Amino acid sequence: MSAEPLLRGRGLHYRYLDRYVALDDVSFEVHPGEFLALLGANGSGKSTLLKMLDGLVFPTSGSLSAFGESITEQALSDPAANARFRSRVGLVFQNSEAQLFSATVREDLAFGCRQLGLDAVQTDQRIGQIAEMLQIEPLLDRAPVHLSGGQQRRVALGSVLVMSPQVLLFDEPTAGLDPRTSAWLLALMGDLHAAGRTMVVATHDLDLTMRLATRCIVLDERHRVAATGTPTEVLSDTELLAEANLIATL
Amino acid sequence: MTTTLPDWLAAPTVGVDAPQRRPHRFLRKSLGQVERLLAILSEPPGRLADFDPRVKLITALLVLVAFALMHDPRLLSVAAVMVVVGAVAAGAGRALLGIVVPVSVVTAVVMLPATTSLVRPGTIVLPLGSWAEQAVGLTATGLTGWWLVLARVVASLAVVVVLTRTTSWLRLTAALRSIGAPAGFVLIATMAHRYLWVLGRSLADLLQARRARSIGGATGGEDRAFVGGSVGALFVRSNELADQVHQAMTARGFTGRLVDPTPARLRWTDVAWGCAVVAAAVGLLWGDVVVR
Amino acid sequence: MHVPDGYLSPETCAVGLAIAIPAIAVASRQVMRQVKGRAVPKLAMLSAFSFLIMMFNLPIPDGTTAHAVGSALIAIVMGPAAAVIATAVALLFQALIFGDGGVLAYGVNVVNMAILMPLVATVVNRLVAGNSAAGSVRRITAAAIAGYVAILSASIAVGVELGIQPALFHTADGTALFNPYGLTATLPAMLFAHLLIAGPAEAIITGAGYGFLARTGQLDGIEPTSDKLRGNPGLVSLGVLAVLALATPLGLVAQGTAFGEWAPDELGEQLGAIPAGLEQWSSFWTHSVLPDYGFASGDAPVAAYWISALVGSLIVAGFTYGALWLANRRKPVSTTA
Repeated sequence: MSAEPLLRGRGLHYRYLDRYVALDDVSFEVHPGEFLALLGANGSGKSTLLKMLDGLVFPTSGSLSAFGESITEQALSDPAANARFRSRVGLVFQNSEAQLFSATVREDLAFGCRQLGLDAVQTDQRIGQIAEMLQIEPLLDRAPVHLSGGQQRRVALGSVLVMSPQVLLFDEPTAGLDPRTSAWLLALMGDLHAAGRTMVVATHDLDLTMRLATRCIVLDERHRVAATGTPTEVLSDTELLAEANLIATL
Repeated sequence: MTTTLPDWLAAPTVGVDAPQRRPHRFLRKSLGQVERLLAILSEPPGRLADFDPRVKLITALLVLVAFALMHDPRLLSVAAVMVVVGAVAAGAGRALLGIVVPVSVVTAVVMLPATTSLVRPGTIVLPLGSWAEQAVGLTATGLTGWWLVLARVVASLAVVVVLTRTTSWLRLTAALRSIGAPAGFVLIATMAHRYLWVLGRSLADLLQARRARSIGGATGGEDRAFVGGSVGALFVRSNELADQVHQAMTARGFTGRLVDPTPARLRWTDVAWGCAVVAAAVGLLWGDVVVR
Repeated sequence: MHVPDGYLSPETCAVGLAIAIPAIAVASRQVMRQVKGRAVPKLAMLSAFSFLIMMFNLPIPDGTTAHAVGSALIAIVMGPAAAVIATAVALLFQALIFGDGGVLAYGVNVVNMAILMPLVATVVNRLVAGNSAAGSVRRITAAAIAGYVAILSASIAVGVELGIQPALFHTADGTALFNPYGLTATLPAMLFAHLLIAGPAEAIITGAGYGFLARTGQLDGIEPTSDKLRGNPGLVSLGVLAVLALATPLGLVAQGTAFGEWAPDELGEQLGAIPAGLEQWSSFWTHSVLPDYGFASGDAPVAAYWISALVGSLIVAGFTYGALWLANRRKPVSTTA
């Protein structure tokens, strides 16, 4: 872990709607090629942190940098900086529906390609390959709003993957999926990681963490970092897990 | 079960030039609006929340009518100051600032030309020069009218802010019902307010997801397609949620008939408050008629 | 578009409420029948939807952004009655939560955006769309045009409401009590803003929104057919009443009875470009509708005018209602899909 971190947060605070504390003095680093699991109960601030890493919400105080550049609302209003950042970081939302706004699956996949400036031939090629990989070829001309939850998750994933970002952020990727889709998704995430992609996954799925993560950050219910460590270290500390409401002790 | 990644996916995208396209200002503006809505919805009601909402609603309406009937800008300004001070005391100062300032600034600017003799002829009190061989300047009637409308706009908005920021939506709609608003309309407004939060958050997500994948704007056609898509997706979401809510209501025995909650008894403090406000409004109006 | 409190006289606001309240009552009865028990959650959801649409900043072709009302889209997709309710509730939120649009002026705002717009949009959409297939280019164009024309008619209504204020409500020395600009200023101003900015925004949201819903098959089975327009005599006649009520003070202004204090040349300046046809309009009311009541030339010309205008408007609206009701009975609703 000697390389420069890709993303770095220092003393991040965030108040949701200026009122509710969502993050309290959170500091962390994301290193190239790692698979970082953000563990935390519902409402611990994981989703907020992911959105912050994707430049969608900005810290109330504290500083965030990505690829050596400071990430602020002001900085991202520069088109060149925005393009550099958005092409290298991608977020798969927890709510897949929210990501899909086109009339057909094909158009949703094409959106990111066009944003990258690809021409029609390249766009079609990417769509074809990603659809094959995600097993959504038969859905290409259907409306995303009509798909099942699992299908929407695949399309939402595809809409981010077509841009081939260096850092992939996932918000609760396995929540609400059936066992087969869930297993398929875990395998794909493993492959993406093996191909050198940096992964940050917010989850309370301890199975996913154990199988894929190289490092964990635990957010407690006071929105602070309770612990960081390898999955083995963190997951063996039952007291910590119970405190962070990740396992129930009856 | 290993997936073979396409070449372009095996290596990440690095360094993309910003396309020379229009920035997506509308996304940021819309997001700002939605976030403002969510912030307002999550605000707890301020002080004065203890007073009976019916009394507050009726007195607010009477005060608004009184303001509309007044002719004297000085008295109306006194009234505006009183309500603004009251709003600040009731803890609605910030909301007042956010709502009253933009509207009154717009009003002040829009009404400005009407102070000149070009728009409304009259006695010129402040000559500005001449145009087409006629003296042009600010007129007495123009200035009085400008002040009058501005004072009334500020005073009326402040009344509405005090009313709505110190009363929860549920109590406000119950009060609307008790002064005779149609039951169906009030029920719909009550429920719609609850959905605003759910749909508002889903719209915020939609806008953010689009922003996350936007590299330096889009063409007009893409933007229009996005607007159509997000409005459509929101519509679909609304419909699905409505069906689920209907099923949940049916499951709990709703057959389409509405039952009004029994209204609470008025306390003497409510009556006293109501009388005081009405007395103040009548006093102002009487003064206005006297000086007229 | 949202008229705040302070710009309109209490009399104007009262007229607005007098039209808005019955229209809302008629529309809610209509929708309750249409969707049975589902009406309440459905309409609540549509209201929230309508409110959120109003918050949407739309990119319009010249690079700026503008807001849309969205009631034309709801009218085309769910029928005018649903649009009336949803927009009326959304306007209530706008007035109370954001302070956009006044509380006393609520009725007037409802007339403009929640009654006039959906009715105009429904009629224009039907006229342009003809019998073309759902989701066809012609239908999408029809929706966009309907949205454009609807917002334009609402803006004309706002222009009229604001423009009649200075002539009708001012003090003896000529100080305008409410909005100080006459029709010659308000109508061009409103039209200009809406032709170029708000109009395109409304056209985009209506056309693109309809296009998306039709292309994704969301409208199968719920799109209102032409029968629904005919099946709505209450609403349409209330719309007619609204137009007449808006036009009534114009007659008064044209006749010049309301401001004796003003010197004749000043008066001419005030009226400026009001077409001479309006004078005929006013004499139509005072002389042809109630010719034998003796008011017309009597001591109280203004009162006589208002009474005759009221009676006349009610008669016309009543005729509209009756005609539509008959048309409805004559050709029973046959198809729903």
